[in-house]
Amino acid sequence: MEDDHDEIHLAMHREADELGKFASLIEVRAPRPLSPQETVGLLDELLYQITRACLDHGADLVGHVKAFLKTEDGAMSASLIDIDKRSNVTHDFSHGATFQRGEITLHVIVHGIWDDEVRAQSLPAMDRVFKQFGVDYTILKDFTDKERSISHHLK
Amino acid sequence: MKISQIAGFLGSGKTTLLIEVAKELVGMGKKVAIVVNDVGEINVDFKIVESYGLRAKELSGGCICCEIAGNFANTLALLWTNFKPDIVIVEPSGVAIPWGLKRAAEYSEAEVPVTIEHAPVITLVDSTRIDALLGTVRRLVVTQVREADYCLINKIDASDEGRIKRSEELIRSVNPKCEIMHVSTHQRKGVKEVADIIANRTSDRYDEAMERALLEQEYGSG
Repeated sequence: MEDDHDEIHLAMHREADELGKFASLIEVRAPRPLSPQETVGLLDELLYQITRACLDHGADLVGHVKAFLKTEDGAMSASLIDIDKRSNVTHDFSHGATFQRGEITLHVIVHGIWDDEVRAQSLPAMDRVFKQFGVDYTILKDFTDKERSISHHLK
Repeated sequence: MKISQIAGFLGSGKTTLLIEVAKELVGMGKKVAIVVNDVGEINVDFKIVESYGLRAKELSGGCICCEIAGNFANTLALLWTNFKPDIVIVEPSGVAIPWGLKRAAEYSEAEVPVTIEHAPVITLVDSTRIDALLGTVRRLVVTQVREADYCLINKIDASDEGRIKRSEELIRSVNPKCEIMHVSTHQRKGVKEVADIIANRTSDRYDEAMERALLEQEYGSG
C-alpha cells in the first residue's frame, strides 16, 4: 500500500521533470556605466534571445525564464513567460544610479526539451547578447549537472 | 505558528503576490517569515524576496514536500526559535504537493514546542496562459487546483473574458468546493483580501487518508 502511494507521488514529480532547466551565476562587467534603461534592455534581450533559441529548437512552452541582477547600486529582476510579451523587469535603482559591474543569477525553465539542450541553446544566446551590449562576462557557476534527471526523487 | 502556502505553476505570479501579501500582513502587525523552495540548486525567487527586505529563508536542492521535508521542518523550527513568526508564507516549487507540504510542516512540532496550524491552501492560475498550460502541463496544473482551498485566477488585467472563463471552468470541474477569486497583483486587486484570508482563516491539518484519496482520484490506484 505504501509502495503504491510512493508510486503515485512519484508520478507527479516525473511530470514536473519533463521541464528542461539551466541555471547559472554570471559575473558581468560593462565598459562604461549603463543607465537603468539600458540595463533593462540588456536583461530583456538576454531573456528574449535565450527563450527564442529554446523555442526554435524544440521547446513547446516557456516555463519561466528569469534573471536577477545584483549590483552595488541596487537590484533588478526580469521575468519572461510569454515570448510575445517580452520580459517584465523591475528594479530598485535610485535616480541617477548606473550599472557597470554585478552578478546575474539566471534560471531557464522550458517544457519540451531536456536540460542539455536548454544549456546548449542558452550559452550561445547569452554570448550574443552580452557581445551586442559590449559586456564582458564570466560564468561563475553552472548548475546543469545538479539540475538534471529525476534520479533525485528515487531513494 | 501558521503556515501559508501559495502554490501555482511556473510563472503564475507566486513571488509577486507573496511579496505584496507579506507587506500587507506586516502592515497588519503580523510577524511574517517567508520560505522559498526551488527544486534546483539556484533560487532566483529567494533573491528577489530578500531584496525587498523581507525575512526569508531559501530551501534548494529538492522538493519541499518529500526529499527535503526534514530540512523544511528544521527551517521552521529554527524560525520559531529565533524569530517566533505569526505566519510563515511558503512558496513551494511548481512540483510540491500541498498535502505533502502540510505533513512536512507538522514534522517541526517534534523539534520545538510549537503548534502548527495551516492557512487555506492558495493556488494561482495564470489566466493569460490557461490554454497553453492545459495543452502541455495539464496534470500539474490540475493537481495544484485539486488540492486548493482558494484558487486565484491571476493576471486578470492582462487576460480576456474567454481565458478567465476557461480558467473558472477548469477550477469548477476539478475542485467544485474551492473558492474562486479574481486577482491582479500588479493592480493590487485582491492583495488585501488574500492577506485577510491568510491571517484569519484556517485549513485542515494533514490527513494521510485524504491525501491518498486525492492522489488516487487524479492518478488511479497505481
